[in-house]
Amino acid sequence: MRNLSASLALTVLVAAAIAGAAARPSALRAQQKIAGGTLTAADYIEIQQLVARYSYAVDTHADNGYAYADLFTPDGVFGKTKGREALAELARTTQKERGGPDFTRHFLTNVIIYPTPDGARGSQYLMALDVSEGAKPSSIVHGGRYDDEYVKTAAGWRFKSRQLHPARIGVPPPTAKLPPSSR
Amino acid sequence: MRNTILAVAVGVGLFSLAAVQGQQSGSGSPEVMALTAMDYIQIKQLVNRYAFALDTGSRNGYDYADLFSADGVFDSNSRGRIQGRDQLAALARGGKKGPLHVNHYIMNHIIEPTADGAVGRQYLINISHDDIIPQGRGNQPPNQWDLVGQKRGSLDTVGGHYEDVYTKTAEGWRFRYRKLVPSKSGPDPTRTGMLKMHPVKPDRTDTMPAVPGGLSAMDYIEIERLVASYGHALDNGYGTADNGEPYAGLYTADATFGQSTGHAQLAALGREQPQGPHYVRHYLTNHVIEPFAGQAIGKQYLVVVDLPEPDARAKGTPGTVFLGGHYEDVYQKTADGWRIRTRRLFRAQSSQPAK
Repeated sequence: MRNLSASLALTVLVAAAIAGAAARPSALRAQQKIAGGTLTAADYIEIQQLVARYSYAVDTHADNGYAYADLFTPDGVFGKTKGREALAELARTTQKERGGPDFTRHFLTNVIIYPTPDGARGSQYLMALDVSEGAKPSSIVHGGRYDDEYVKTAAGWRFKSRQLHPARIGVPPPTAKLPPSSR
Repeated sequence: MRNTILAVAVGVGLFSLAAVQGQQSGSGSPEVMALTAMDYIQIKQLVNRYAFALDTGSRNGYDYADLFSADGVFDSNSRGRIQGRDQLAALARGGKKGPLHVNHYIMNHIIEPTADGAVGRQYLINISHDDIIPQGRGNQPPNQWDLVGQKRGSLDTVGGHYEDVYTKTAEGWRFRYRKLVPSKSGPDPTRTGMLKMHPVKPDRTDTMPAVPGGLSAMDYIEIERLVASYGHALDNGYGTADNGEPYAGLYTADATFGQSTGHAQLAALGREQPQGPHYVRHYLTNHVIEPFAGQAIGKQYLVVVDLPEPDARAKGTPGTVFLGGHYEDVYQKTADGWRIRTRRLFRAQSSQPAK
């Protein structure tokens, strides 16, 4: 019970910190308790479906890149790329010689979505794979975490912003005596 | 209409089917079935069961066969067209199997409603895991930071995407048609690879179970998110520096994972793991959820991947597979939402060689 109280107190502190960090779009702190906002079951499913379509849009280059651009709001941002034309160009030129209807590279999982007062935020893990097209083994090219903001438009949920943070391990404290894991 | 679609699928292939359905949805036909959140969830659960059923060959292959409708078909370049319950069960019995075998990692599930059901796609990568126990340096017991980068598995040559047709039967959603399409480079202007997004139909059972003791759509969504949070909490503390409290926060106060019980031990377990604000390592997928005695149970695949960091990536260094297996969980609904009550990791093993 003491642990539970401590955990609740911490959660409140974290929630306060998140509220403070909310002005910084790149700093997603998707904890259990983001204050404000609610999402219906339909909202969660529609956002999940939006996120899952991202990979197909970028890998297939469908509709000359506009299928990708149209997953974003008109002023939507991926990294430093903003706006429909720039996003479509990005989708067309990513893996330019390789993309197509049967091309699979962007594998996403660990999809988390949280309501905010303005819509929703979420994150996923990316594993970018070079999938075998013959005898050559498949390989893991890179990966990281996407941090997103979503808004509900007249056409449905869309990415307002999306940022990829490449995977980086932290540095263990120099004095740390790390115990062996039981796993 | 149903027979027409099936005949097209069987006779000409799914590509033609997709074209037919594309025209239907493109014309804004009011006949497209409106799917509720629970429909999407049950279709996702069907797909999540697929990997477990195929990799384990459980119930002599019939767990796999029973994911298909009575006339259901599985189609692939390597095996051809397989139809019929016994034939599908035989497919699931072949090759490496066993209760701890994990191989099919399926992600990116998109679903589009159709006139009489739904179609969907997912990405697939097959990953094989070695039976190697982690080793430390010299006589010292291993700590987790030292072990990063040890290779204990590899990606198979099999990968690509599935193309599905789902049908709602008296027993629930089933595959009527499922095809594996290997990954292939190159454009084909006649195909888009995209499925259209539709609004999800609100339903009064979204927040309350349809049957006593069952799970509502929102219960499934919250349990999905709980498990999807696992990597985020453990690897990077949701983008913060410390993962201990976020990790322990996934569990009930008296929860057990492996040899750790209770909030303090679980937080300590989290803190011993390699971590950083942008570290990603634990990839979970194929999450199966079931109501159980007023609470819920679940299982999912895990692959722990050591990704090349930006400088290594620039040199073309690939990532490595560190660990694979599956988790089995019990979930409990608390005043704060769903939490993990117990969790066990089963490392990947094949109990019989491929013959």
